[in-house]
Amino acid sequence: MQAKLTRSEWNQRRIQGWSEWIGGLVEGLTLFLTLTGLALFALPFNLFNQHAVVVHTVVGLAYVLPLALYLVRHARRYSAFPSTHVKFSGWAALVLLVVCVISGIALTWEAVFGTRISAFWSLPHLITTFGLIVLLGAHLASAYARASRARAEEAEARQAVHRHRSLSLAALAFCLVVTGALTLVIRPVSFVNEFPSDYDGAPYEGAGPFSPSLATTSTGGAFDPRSLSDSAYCGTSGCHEEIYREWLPSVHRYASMDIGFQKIQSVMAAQNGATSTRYCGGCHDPISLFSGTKNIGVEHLSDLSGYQEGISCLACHAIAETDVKGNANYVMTQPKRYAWELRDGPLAGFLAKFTIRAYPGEHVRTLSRRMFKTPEFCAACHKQFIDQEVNQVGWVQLQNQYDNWRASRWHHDEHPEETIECRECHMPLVDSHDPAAGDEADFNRTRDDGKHRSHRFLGANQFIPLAMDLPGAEEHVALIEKWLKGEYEIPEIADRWRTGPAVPIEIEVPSEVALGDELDIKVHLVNNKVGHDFPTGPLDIIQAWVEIEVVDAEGQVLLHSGKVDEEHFVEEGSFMFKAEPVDRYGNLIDRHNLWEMVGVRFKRSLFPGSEEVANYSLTCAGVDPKHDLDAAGTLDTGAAFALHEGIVGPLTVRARLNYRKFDQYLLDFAFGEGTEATAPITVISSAEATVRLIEEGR
Amino acid sequence: MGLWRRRRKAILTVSALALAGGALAVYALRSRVKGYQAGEETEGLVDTLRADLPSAVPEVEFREVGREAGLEFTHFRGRRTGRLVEDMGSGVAAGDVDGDGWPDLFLVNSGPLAGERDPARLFRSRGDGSFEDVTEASGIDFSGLGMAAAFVDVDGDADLDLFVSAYGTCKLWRNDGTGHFEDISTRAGLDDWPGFWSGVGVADYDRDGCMDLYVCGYVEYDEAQKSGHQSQFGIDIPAMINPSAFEPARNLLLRGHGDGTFEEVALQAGAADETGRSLGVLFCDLDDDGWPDLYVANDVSDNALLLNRGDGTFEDVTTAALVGDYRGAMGLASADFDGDGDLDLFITHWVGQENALYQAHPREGGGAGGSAGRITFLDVADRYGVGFTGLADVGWATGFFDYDNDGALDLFVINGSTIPTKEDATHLQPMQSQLFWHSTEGRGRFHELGAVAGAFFAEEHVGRGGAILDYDRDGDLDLCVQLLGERVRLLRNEGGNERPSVTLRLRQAEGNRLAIGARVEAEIGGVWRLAVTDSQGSYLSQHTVGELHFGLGEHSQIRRLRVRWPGGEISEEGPFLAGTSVTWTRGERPVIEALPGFLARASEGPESVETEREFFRRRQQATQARLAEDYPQAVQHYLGALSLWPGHDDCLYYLAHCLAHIGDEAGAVRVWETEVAFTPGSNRGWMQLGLAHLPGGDPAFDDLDAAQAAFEHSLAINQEESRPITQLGVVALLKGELDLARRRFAEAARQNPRSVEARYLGGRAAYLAGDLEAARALLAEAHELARAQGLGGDSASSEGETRTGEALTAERALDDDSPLQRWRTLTTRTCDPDLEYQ
Repeated sequence: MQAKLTRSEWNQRRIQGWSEWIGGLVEGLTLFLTLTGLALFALPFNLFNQHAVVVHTVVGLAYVLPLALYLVRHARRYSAFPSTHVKFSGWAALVLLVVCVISGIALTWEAVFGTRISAFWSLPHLITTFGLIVLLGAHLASAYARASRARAEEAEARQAVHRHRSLSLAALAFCLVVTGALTLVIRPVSFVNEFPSDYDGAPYEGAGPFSPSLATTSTGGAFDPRSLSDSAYCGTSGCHEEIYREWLPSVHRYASMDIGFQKIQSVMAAQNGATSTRYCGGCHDPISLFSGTKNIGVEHLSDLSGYQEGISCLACHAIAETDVKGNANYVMTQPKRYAWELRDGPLAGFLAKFTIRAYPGEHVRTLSRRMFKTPEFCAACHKQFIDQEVNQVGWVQLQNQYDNWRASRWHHDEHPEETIECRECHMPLVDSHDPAAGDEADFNRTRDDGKHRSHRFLGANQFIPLAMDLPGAEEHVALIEKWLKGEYEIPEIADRWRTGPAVPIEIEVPSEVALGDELDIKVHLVNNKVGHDFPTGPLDIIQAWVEIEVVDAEGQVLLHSGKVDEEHFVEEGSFMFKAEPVDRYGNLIDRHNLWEMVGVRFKRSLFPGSEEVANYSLTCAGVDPKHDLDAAGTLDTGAAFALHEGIVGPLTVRARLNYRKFDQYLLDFAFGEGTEATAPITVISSAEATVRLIEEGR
Repeated sequence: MGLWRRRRKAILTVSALALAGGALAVYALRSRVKGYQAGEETEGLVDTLRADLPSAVPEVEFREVGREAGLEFTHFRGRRTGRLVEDMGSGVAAGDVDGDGWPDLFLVNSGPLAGERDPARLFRSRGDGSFEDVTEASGIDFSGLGMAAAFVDVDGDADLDLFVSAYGTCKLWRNDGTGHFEDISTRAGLDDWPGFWSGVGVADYDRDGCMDLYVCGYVEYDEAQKSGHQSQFGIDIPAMINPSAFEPARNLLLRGHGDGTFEEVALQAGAADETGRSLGVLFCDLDDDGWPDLYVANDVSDNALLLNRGDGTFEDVTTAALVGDYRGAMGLASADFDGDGDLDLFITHWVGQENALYQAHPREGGGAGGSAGRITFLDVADRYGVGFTGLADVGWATGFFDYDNDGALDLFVINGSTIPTKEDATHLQPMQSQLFWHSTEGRGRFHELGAVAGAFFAEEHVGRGGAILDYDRDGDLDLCVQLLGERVRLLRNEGGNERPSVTLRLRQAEGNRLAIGARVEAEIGGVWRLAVTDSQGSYLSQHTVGELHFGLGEHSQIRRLRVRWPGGEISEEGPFLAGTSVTWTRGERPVIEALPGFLARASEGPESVETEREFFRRRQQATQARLAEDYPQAVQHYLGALSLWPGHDDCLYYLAHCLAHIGDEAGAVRVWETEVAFTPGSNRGWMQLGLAHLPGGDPAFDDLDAAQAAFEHSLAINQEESRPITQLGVVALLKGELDLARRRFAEAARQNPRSVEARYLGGRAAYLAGDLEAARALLAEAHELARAQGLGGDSASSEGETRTGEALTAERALDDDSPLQRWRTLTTRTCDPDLEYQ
């Protein structure tokens, strides 16, 4: 217990307290921190706040030491004072201040070294701030009130308070000026949202500048390619690294650079005019589309970043509106950029990341929409048709995974809990350290489930990632192969999905056959797991077919259908899933010239849950095995072959379902006949059966 | 007055000073008359012959690519020793020696009279725009003082043999068809004719199917007879380089026997032109009576026009025809430059002499009393801007050629002096060569555009021989130029093919295999244009033999081509589309090939964005007209579009369909042929060709073998498609090969299990084969399938579905009731094979 002090000693101490410069400084900084903290909390996203968060952090850190020093001295000075409400509020404020400072440091740590700030620290920081406003406010108000009373008696005290206040205000003003100056000087990079001067802005009467694509921008005008690109920046270290790595070899990433797409686009430009390639651009190359690159006279019709990034992060995440009509019927926005984004130099890079992490509201609000979860969002591009504008004949449906899925057993209007949607298969949950991990907005997830939705968008293209040597292609293609075979496990939908191969194959044969009799083989194929038709996509290009082989015990091949020849063509007459789209004159649409397509001559694909049977038969008639017609002349699917003399039982029947992304004719057409290019073949499923051979007439 | 008295002295002084100053000023300021200086442009001089360039001149550049194309050849190694035989230079001949479609080059060499000389060389085109020296492998070995070269098929075996004229004896090599040559000069009797031989002309003048040769004799060069010096233009010229110092030599007319042997008949035929110092000859039908005439260019002596009487003799009509040009004539060209349907002449001359442009004026009915007076010529060189422009130069090789494909014939003139330089008598004075662009604006005129046509025309050389060829087969004409004592120049035409062209090769099955002398009229944009095979002369050189070039200007096709074959038979064909090379053998269907060097242009489209825009505008109009079924209009729009982008796949494909719709099946076939020529991977093009050859359309095209070949081609490109298999079944069915037809339809049905056609026609084949059971089964299947069509599957909105539920094809416009088309309406009938297939 300290000795009792005289009144003059009290006054002396008070005056000393008021005149200590550090007190004024700490008070001014506290005021600044409080004000900016409130601004960050209460004001909508703005430029001042972006800089305030930086200055707030710097000041906050710099202020810890003087604060501690001041508080120690302050406590010492007033510890002997009577325990009034002033003293009580002071001590209480101290506790909050300590928590506020610690949480502030922790938040800084998270924003600098982590991937995002956590509620664990941001909440206490916010709560203590409000607490401080009350307690420290009361504490200071009393102190000032007392000082104003003392002021009348003592010129010295008056002066000290005045100095204190001035210093405090100066510190506040200084910080505000610095923040204000930053606000004036460091502004977000401005975009050049202009079409090239020779841009054909109205290629189709009455339609917008991006027609025949249905895609458009929120302004209806051009978007600077920079405003939708730079996905690498999103995947920069400490941010969405994992998601970026997944996206790199994904189909969305190479949507534009895809050698097939580029070739077909150039054929379309040559045959139909460069402006017509805008039709493709909405889904394959939006950055180039919106920057006005798909214009006559542009050599490659793709902006470099458009080419490199295809469906970039922002190309999906900046979409504000989609229409289930398909054909890229969406509205693209240009998200506001933070002041330090898209600037060169390590400091700018650091500050951009820092501001996003420390002040993430706008980033999350604009780039993560609830809509992204819906199948209708995907439908914008995964549903395609050719409109009269393009084919000049009339509306023709093209690939349409969305309606296909909607009509399937995977979609239940009445029982949403049984429905499996696009993202649940194609963007399964994966373990995550990504800032985007966790999602309380998804029905079966939580804010901190430590998972994010894979941005690999696994599908069926096992060709391009390797052909174009994309980063991580091998791992990616291995996953696609697993995917195609139905070996990819998705625990979160296991209760709603099916097990086993995606498209199982089953051979139906009698257990025995007599020499001289006919052996009928039925190969059953079922769409077991696929959420839409199998195969799907452009069926003028994609092929899946049954390869079947019957060998006897000595290895003699008695039947082989579905072979791929030396030129990489599938044998004539093979049982194939594909389409033969035709033009007005019945000729094949064989170079993906969809703008001339008026319908299909033939299409075979498996609707979810449905079955197809390929029939084969072997007879002992001893005729040319290539060209046998059975007696009835029935020409059901499958080739008819003859059993040879001298065969030895038992017979082994092997069947498999092959799949490839590109038919050979297209590759020949695109890259010149005799090209080495051929699409790899994946065996989706296979089966084997044995048939005993018995003597004639038994 | 008092003032005067008081100040008299001062006044006088001031006045005197003022006067002196004034005088000085007047003297200083008086106008001085500048003395006249040579070359001064004084008032009152006008130059009406000169004309300003029109605003738009072709942006075509001739880029020298000789070395990069592999033409390692230098003319005249060694020192000039001041003899006429050394100064005449040598020529170049262009022709397809190995039959690969690409023009090869033979470069004649010369050298000092005494001493070593480099040999002449044969360069084979590799087919990629480069050449390889195949002289040694070819067996041609000639190091004489070579003059002219001409490719000629002397033995009627369809390959090009080679004739070379020289100072000494001429040479003839026979080609065995593989590019290997055998020297048959002795057998041909050439050894009997030593001399100073220059220009060579080739024709079948007696129309016996055997090629004949006309060989110009220059002078009787005999150094012993001459000595001393003469003077020309202040420079001492030794007599040995002055042609006037020597007696003129006679010319040879070698009447071919068709086996590589000849009979020299010049004197009997009245074609020896003994008084002319001949350097060049045009051996073509100038008076359009079907018989090749002779026009001989003579140096320092009158030229001669010898009209072929048709009985093996010639009549000298030089004077009557007003073409006895007395100037020193060197190079010759002839073509219908003014488009009035006759051949005009262009002649290059010595320095100080204007070049001549003789416009032909045939006289109606003038032929009554023989050939004399049937034709006259008028020198219009100055009016057209090609006369006075040659005054400062010595002109040699020349030729009419449409280098910018605008449809008007332009001219080139290769210049080089015969006078030694003052500094070094072993060198002759170099000169700039000239490129004349023919503007048809107003009355028409040639403008010298050398200054904007590449470095070569700005440089000075001692030029001599030169030939026109399209060495890179890109549809524009290039030049190969022989320079005395220099490396050969290959001038690649860059930009000429921005406008389209068609290359034409006429062939005959026997005799005059290259149809030399055939008269071709091409209808381009409603105007008939004339060309005659191998009518041009140049100087000691031969433009690509057996090949004609038509620049199409703003048009996209030769609508009709009318050929008067040697002998007089006339045939017509067409259309022929831009960017193609057409080989038409008499009596056969023309074969269409895309010019290989033009494929890049055809796939990339026009250079300028404006042109590309315009192309797509026209294409759009065409499409709209086509869909509105206004096919004649669509055809016009497609043709307009194709003129800007020849070879455009979609335009060709749909143009052909439109032609078919308006009943021009011949045109349609030709256009589909063009389409597959440009895009050999065009499945649809082959399919359409196959369909066009099936019965049902123009019977002229019914050709099951051709149809089968086209379908097989289509199937080979893409065996995974069902349609060619079905159509091969149809071919087999029509040929009566029922087993094959049944197999084909069975395959087609396996390939396309939805195919009603395959079942229906398979049933028909079975029925015709007597297999009623199979026919019934197949017909039933077809029936069932036909009824099921149009019913959607269980998947929603699937690929290929339309709002009408049916494919939006235009196929049904065909005859639905023919036996091959009845399957389309199957659902309306029962499935009784007897009724259906009877």
